[in-house]
Amino acid sequence: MAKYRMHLMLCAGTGCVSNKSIKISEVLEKELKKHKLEEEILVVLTGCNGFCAQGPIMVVHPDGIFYQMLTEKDVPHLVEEHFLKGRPVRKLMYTPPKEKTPVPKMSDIGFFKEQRLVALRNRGLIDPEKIDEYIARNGYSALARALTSMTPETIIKEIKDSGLRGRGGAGFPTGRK
Amino acid sequence: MAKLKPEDLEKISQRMRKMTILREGTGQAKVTVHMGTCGIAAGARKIMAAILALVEEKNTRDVIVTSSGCAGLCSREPMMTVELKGEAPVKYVDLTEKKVQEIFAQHVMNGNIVVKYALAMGSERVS
Repeated sequence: MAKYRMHLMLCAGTGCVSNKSIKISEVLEKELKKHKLEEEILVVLTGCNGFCAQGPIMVVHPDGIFYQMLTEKDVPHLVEEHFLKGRPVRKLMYTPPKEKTPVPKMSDIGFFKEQRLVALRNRGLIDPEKIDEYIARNGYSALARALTSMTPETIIKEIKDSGLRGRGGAGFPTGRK
Repeated sequence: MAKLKPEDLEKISQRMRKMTILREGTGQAKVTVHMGTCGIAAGARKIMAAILALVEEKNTRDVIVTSSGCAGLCSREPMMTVELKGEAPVKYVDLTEKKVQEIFAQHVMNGNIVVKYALAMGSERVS
């Protein structure tokens, strides 16, 4: 895990990748090495964040700062200003339509603020290709519990209580099935 | 592939703990090293490295370490702000690696503010 103090969650969903986010990640790694920051700052390729029209997207943790519409040309300036000198780059932040000032934090942006994530609770927070990251966010723990400490009847009751329904047109209650 | 037991899932979760608290922001303590150009010129990088080493070595609480830009009091750099969950942030100034060790052991780990190195407590704005 080394001593990383900052994680750069770069979106590698299909939308952002088609907008060259992988190329951006390569330039990012190169710039971080140039400023000797590669042992402190980790670049993580995450799944889709949902805000595809504003891609490529990057969220900086632990601060929660949201960058959008990144290009390769922006990277050297971003690395030098924000990651080296500690000054977040306002011109790369999201400014809501009809407003003049950018909103730095992802949790303050309307698109994200109003969402209540259930199945997608790991959105933008893990590298989907690393199973350990999923497990760290309680991935498979329900399965483990169901297989080892729950009876079939308890499992069925849990599913009935959840109200889960089929995705076909009838929306049949899964618990009954 | 070896068979995993439920306890193994728990072990993996523990191992990845540092990653999750950094991304979710669920730490019990947050240490911000001020690394604006003035801070860096005064040696903030060494302070940052010292803190990261201490967190690695002695972590009793979940600690988030982050950096920020210039706080405005350039003459007292290097500075850092320690914020424990539920408490107001405390600014420490004129830091050296030795002071950082003490502050980490007393404030970050045990919750006792080291008054002789502190400048001020509290935040000017509500965020």
